[in-house]
Amino acid sequence: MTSTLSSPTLTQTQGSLPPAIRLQEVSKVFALPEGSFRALDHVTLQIERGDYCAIMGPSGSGKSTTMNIIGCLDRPSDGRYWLDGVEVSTLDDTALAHIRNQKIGFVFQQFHLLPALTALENVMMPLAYRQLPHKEQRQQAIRALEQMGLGDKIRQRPSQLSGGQQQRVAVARAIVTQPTLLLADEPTGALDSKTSDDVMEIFESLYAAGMTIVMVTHSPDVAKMARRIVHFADGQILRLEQVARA
Amino acid sequence: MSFFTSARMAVQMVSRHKLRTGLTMLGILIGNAAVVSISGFGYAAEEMALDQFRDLGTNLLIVFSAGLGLADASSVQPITMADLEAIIEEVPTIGTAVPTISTNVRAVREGQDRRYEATGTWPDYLSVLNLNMGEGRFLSEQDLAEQSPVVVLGDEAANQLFGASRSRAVGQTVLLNNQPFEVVGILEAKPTVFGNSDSGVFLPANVVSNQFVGQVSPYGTEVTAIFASASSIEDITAAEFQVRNLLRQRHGLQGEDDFLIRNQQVLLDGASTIVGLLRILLTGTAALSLLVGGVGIMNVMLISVAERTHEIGVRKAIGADSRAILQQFAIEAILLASTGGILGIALSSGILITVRAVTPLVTIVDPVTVLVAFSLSTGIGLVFGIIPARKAAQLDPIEALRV
Repeated sequence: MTSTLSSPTLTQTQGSLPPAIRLQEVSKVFALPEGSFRALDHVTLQIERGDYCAIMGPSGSGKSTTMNIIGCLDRPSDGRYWLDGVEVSTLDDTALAHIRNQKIGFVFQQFHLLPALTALENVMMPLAYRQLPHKEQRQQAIRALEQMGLGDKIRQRPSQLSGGQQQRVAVARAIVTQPTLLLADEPTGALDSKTSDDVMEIFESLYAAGMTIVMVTHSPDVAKMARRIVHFADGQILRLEQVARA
Repeated sequence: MSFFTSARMAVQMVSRHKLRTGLTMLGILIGNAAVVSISGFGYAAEEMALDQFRDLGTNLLIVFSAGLGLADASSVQPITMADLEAIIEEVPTIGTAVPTISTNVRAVREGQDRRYEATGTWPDYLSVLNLNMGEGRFLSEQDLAEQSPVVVLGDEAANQLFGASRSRAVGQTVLLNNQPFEVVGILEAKPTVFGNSDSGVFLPANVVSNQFVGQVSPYGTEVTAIFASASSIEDITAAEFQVRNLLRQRHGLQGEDDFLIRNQQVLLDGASTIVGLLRILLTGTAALSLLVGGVGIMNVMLISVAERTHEIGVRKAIGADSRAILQQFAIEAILLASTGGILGIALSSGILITVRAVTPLVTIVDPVTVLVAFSLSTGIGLVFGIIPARKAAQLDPIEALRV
């Protein structure tokens, strides 16, 4: 069975630029002691630039595997994947690391900030792997933190920040490289409803500014903040939902 | 990923985890401190030991009868006063030479009853053996000429015979083999290689030979040994050669020598070799602790990789490739080892310099040892750091992020 989702009419297509994400017949099979497990089964999916897309589904539906493949943290067993027009499904680990640094910004449920580093140092880290001069790293990181309203917290360690503030630092770290794609895995999963709203507002403004956002969530309320919802079940795309805006 | 960026990150992580850093460095710190201080103290001990040899005079030749172990012991001629006089007259490279005639005597004084080695000698004995007087005077030419019943006591002998009243010992009388002898001086304490001047008593040579030894061999007055100093240290080899030739001639030898000549320089070289070997052995043992320190670094780094799996996952997710992680962890290990090394060297240097300033020990901070210890510890850091660094680099980012 083949799942296909390609609805250019529902996305903000930007001229002749390639789509942000194009998965073609992507499968992922894991070898387990009790036999192989097909986590993704011939998934075809296209997400245009500037789209804001939520991926939903129960545990084991394949949404995390899709997320890992889209995030270049894993490779498909079969099928092809183009990120920003570049086929990445055949790249080696080093090239994938480079792609992650250049084109993807991650926001995780548990923030994944390094506790020993200050907010500023955490945000500077992706730029360091880009080998930007230290001064430039600093300037860009401060700008990203200011954009997140954390200009006065740059010297704080994560432990000195609230959950919402930590997630905003994580968002600053994700966008500081000006990536093609912002990939968020349950971005509000560890936050209370008030701070969840704050983070979703930030996502909304990033979307408004043209950022492509893909977000994995199992919260329908959070998913509804996106423009489209892709429902996964049993390693396949179940259906596409266009979110109605008030 | 540039080396500089990795190094910056390594410094950042090492400096932020002070306890972990401190504990990791401790082994290498102690190892380096041990190597440098043992080497430094070893040098001081070596110098101290060699100084004592040097004090005896490196231009000293000691001649004594061989006796034992020769094919035909019955043909052995003793060393005699006549041999000594011939050496003084006929060997131009010999500056001064004195006899020693040794025998055991019983010394009695106010309840003290002890046995000592009595050495009969000449006034020049003092200068030939580089000895100094503690109190009073040494034997004089007049003592010899008059065969005066006088005695010079070794430092320890004076303590034993006079105890608390040793400061008044000069001028007092001691019975040696039941004959009264006037104490004319006490030697300054000094350890020696041949005999022990501290626990001996010294009398005019002719007094010992006539009154205590009491026998004259067919060859003349026997002496136990001749202590001869060469005119200069450069002459020592020539002097030994000439003394040997002269004695062979006088003893009418065709085969083996029936006497032995000991050269102080040979002893000095021997002692130097032994002490040097000891120092190398000790330093080597200390160097083992560097290895242990290296294993410590590896252990802490391995634990650290497990602990930092999450960090590695985050770094990989945001774009660090395996090489960047490998580089960072390897640099961290080298940094820990070299910083530990520098601190250890600084600590031991401080100790060595302080000891030198406040004690008579001539401790040194040996630059070669410092360099070797530092290179060794840094190398150990690299070698033992590579295993955990490789482990870290090979972590799967998805698995690592789950931790």
